[in-house]
Amino acid sequence: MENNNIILRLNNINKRFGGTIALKDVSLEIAKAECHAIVGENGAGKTTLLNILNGAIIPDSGYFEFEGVRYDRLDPKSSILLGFNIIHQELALVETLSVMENIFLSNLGKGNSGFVKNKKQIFNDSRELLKSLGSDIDPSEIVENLSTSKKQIVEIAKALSSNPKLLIMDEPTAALTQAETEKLFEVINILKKRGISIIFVSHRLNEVMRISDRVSVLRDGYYIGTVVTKEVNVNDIIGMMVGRKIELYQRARTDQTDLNNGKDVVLEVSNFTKKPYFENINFVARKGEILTFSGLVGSGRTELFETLFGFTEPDSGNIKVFGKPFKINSPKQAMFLGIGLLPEDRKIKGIISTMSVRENASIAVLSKLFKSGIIRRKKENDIVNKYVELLRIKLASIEDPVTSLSGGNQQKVMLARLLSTEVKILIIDEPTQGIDVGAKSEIHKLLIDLASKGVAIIIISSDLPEVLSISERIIVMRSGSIVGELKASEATEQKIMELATIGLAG
Amino acid sequence: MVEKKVRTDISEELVLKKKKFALGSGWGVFLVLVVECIILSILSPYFLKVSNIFNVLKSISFIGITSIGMTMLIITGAFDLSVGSVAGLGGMVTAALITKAGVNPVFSLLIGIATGIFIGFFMATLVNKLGINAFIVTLGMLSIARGFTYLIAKGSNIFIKSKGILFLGQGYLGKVPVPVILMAIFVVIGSLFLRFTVFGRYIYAVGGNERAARLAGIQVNKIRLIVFMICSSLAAFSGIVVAGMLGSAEMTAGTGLELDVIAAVIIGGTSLSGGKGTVIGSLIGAAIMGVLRNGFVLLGIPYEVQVISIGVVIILAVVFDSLKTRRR
Repeated sequence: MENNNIILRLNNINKRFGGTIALKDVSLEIAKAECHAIVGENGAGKTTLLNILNGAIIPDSGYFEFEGVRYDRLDPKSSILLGFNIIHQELALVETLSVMENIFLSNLGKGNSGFVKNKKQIFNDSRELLKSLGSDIDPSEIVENLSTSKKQIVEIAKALSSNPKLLIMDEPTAALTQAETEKLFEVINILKKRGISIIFVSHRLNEVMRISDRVSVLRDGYYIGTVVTKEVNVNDIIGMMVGRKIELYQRARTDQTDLNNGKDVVLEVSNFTKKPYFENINFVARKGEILTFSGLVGSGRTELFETLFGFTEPDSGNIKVFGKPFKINSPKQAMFLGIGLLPEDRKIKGIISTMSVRENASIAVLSKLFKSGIIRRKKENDIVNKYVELLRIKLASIEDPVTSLSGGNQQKVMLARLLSTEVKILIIDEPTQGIDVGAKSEIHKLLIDLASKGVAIIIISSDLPEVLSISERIIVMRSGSIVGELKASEATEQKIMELATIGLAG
Repeated sequence: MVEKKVRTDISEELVLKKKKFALGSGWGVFLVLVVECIILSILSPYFLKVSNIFNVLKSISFIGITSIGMTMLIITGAFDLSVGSVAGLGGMVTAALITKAGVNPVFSLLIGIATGIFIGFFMATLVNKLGINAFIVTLGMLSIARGFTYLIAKGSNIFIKSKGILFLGQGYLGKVPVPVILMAIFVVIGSLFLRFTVFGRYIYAVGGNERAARLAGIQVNKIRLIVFMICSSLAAFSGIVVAGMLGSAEMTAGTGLELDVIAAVIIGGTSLSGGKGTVIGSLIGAAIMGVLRNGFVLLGIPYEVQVISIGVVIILAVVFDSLKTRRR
């Protein structure tokens, strides 16, 4: 591609976070007046790339060329001055101010020695900007009264007020309805006609296929390639996204366990609904089986299981535990029935950072262990030590603060907490999130071992190799609904990704 | 892995040494108290006299008893600005029942305490069910309870006619004033409760990470409710003891108590962010302030300076607390 046609070029951008490679030798070219999509799984490096373009993160090595001029690093202010702007998924508007004040937020006092610019002028300028986007939003309207889609348009208008040549949109359609997405696409086309380039980061491949001119794919921090959208179909893109060698993750389960029919159903969920998070969920879990719920971030899996666990209330639905119907109103009740939940994001939802390893491990079993209400330290120590040994938790003493442990060992403490309650149905949300490879396989082995002892295990995971290596059955969710169920023997990363991003076949 | 552990051990040790004299880490607070007492005993020959020591302890018993409940509440991540008013109300209710309505002193005492329990129940319910900030709820109750106190008093303090209540406030068992004995009993019970019971452990868990506690099956609302009730009832009880001490229930009794109690709790090492703290620590915190006040009196330092320095101590305590928390 001729240099004249290129607005932004990335050259060998590298970024590491500790031991994890976020981006490796990423080189990309964005042409003028094109809509260029960037796609990749969770963890592929899209967010890091955006943060680098934003100026929020500085690359370890590599540089950009914007309109032919080389830059080694950026910051939000200079990137706006240069002519590119980023619109984040979480909109950055001041809700309590009006549309026009938001649009000209950084310009309110320009040239008027600190006093706010002529109100009438801002009003008119805003009106012009919005009109040019085909919108009739009232500039004096307070932002918090607008719909998400309209807020997005305001954000775009705001970005336009600095005359950018490149706009980056991060998951812009995540919160939009079909009709609003159409509106956004119209706006994108208007921008292209004005010579503005758009980088469109999204998970939604059908939309990517519709609106983009070219698509670049990232995978595990590597730049895989760029294709012309018209020349490919969606499966080609998926192939580029997941084409990883699965040999790295040997199938951890060696026994072919497709003979589910013999196993007892321990949990039966029907018509489970909680709008807008999930709708009409139906599934069963069996004794000794590992069932994985796969899908993209935001597909509703965490909300589904937190509701199932009694943390929140569903709109409707039925649960049967070991054949008996129950209404689960609190985590305490769920635990009483033998259900345990190991939440995602253990730092926020799991670990009590002010407490020791011992206290964290024992907290869920205290009332069962000490019916009189008085804690006997020796008994507590015994049971905690039992699990420390069983799970091979590396620590100096169980009195150490839990925050002194590595991520993998903290996760094991959480597991100890659950196992000590003799859980029969274990729900575990992103079991190996933020854990290094070695600890990952240990946890996988532990889960498989538990299953062989008869515990029904439900895993929520976005980690495809993990999903394939330890599950027997995989249920895929998308946007709050179950879109497919696969036996492990028939599943491939490709098939799961397809279901997760496109939805029901046909 | 072992190497890493050793390195953090050493750096932790160094930090601990640096912070040895900083308020807040268990022994650190106790050390401050000891140093304070040593300095004062050098500056004044009267300080170490037995009668003075017991006087100091008696003077802090109001704060001391109330701080036990407040410690538990702050550990759960809430706090109660109404304790001063509730103390005043508790004393007033009991006094009015005995003196104006001729009710049996034991019943009057129980009803006074029950007033505290009810107020705690009310505030906790607002926090639990409506999600209103504890600060706002207890701030409102500060005025409401004080208002009721004035209402019952009808413009004048009410004398305590009951020998029993007077004994609670003014009596001695041997050489030890009864309020000091009461304070000691409650401190022991409170300490044991927090350290050795399942409920006590839950209190720490709720303050440490409420969401995690809930997901671990703890009934957070129930815990909050009970702790609020404990705090208010202890406040009411200490108000009754003070009424006994003074011989009458005063309309203004307890004004400003909440700030002294919160100061004692924080000086004593309980973190405002929740999840950490001890009852003994709060007692030491109260003692630190009590000894300081006593020192000012013994040394004849003017009242204005006293007031300013207490304020300085409180601010220092909160600063150290936040520095500690930020390190985490």
